[in-house]
Amino acid sequence: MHAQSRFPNKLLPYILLSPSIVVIAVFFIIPTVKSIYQSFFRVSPFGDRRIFVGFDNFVRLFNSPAYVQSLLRTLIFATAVVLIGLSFCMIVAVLLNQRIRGMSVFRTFFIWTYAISPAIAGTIWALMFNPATGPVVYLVKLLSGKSINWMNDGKLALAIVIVAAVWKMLGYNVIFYLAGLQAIPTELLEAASIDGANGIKRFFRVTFPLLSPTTFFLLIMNMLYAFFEVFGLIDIMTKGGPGNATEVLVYKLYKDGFISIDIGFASAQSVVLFVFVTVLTILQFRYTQQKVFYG
Amino acid sequence: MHALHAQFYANNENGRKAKATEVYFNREFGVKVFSEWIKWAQNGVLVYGGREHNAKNAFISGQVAMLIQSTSSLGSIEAKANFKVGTTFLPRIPGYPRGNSVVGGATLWVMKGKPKEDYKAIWEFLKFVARLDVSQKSHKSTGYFPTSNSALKGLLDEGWFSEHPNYLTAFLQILSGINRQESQGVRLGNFVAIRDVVDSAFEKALQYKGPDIEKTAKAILDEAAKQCNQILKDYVSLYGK
Repeated sequence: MHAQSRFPNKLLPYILLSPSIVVIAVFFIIPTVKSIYQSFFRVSPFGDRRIFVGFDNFVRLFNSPAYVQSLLRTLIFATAVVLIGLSFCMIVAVLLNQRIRGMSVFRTFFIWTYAISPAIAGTIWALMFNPATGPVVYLVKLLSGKSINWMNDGKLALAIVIVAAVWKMLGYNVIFYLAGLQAIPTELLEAASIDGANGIKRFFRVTFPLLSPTTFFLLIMNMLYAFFEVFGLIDIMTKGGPGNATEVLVYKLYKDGFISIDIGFASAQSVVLFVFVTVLTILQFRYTQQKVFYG
Repeated sequence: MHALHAQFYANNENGRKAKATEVYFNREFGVKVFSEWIKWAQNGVLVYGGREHNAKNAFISGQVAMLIQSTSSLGSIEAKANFKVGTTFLPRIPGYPRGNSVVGGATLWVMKGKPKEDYKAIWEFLKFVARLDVSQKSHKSTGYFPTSNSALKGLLDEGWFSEHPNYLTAFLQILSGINRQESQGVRLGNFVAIRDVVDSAFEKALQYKGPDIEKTAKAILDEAAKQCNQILKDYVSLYGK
């Protein structure tokens, strides 16, 4: 009868909701609306003049070879980070799910990469591969006689940034996979072994499908990470170089917006990136989720 | 390099007569410089150490024997190197007229439209920076030019340069050049964006491993010039000619 009797005061729910609404408005809605608005202008570097240019920023964006290249690069980067990251982390998680002495020590080793800030992770990797003083460069030279320099080898730079990005997400992915693995009922695995399934078969027929909700969740999180959160790593490690080789969309946006101070153009990029990732996420929910098995 | 060899970097006399609308670095001279660098990189003579001050590490660690760097880095390089450092003039390509090196480095700008108290503070700050002892100390610890003639005179009288001849090189470089319109600093709209484009072009060029060096250099520079001209065009559309 009295469905709303729990909150007789009609104002109270809104008051209780207001803190989160304020946070969402200040950090999400207002900036989004503002960048959509600004994407229709050309703004001077000092911010004192602006011209309304309509869709010119967008037209220019898609006519710019640099942007299209950056888009392709981002897709390669994101695919690599997600695929390598998820498959490698799943293997690591399965290995970490065994009963071995001192397992908690091994687990900690794999998980703590997530606790390192992007700036420090970037510095560590950049130091390891520093062409003049990096220990990895030195080792490679000792072993193969070749001196590698990622500062004038774009492909190598991209590969190193991908590895660093995967490494940075290791802890996060492994924790979720471990939790997923531990939620798998042992009876199922036992039943499979009684039916004569070997270890590999058990993994692909039982474990893998039962992990699919975790994989799906991690797919979305890793994709968002590869699109947006790698900024810190790239800024510290390569600054998008050498010669734009590691300039993914989010870094190009930063460069155009905050180095070149072309706010209108950068806003247009952020709008496109926003739409792009939204569409990608919706598509994944539509099509990938059908394959997810919730037990 | 352009200023040193009396070549314009952009039109309208480097953007000083009117706002620049076209860069010239993709012309004969720029292509020559880029081709030379690609050759050096291919022969393993040139090691690229990264932008701005990142290249210092290769020199300090002894990986390379020579380094082109701003005079403002002299202090920190001398402090870190565990060997004796010598300095000299910028390299010249024969067959071009003599220009001069550009006095670049960090500049301080005061924007209009701030509250009065801010200008008071700025004025105090500028007075501080221009003080004789502050200017001399800054020169001694970094290698930056001191800001006034009297500061320089003080350094001379003190015997600073006879004890530290490396700190004199930049002065002699400037004094031995010829001042022309070409060797005055470039005045470009949104130079920061343009510099980034040129740096990226340079990094692209260094990755080239094939034999068509000059053609590649020209293509990379043309592409960079196109982007820079667009940046200049945008700037003119905002601020007028």
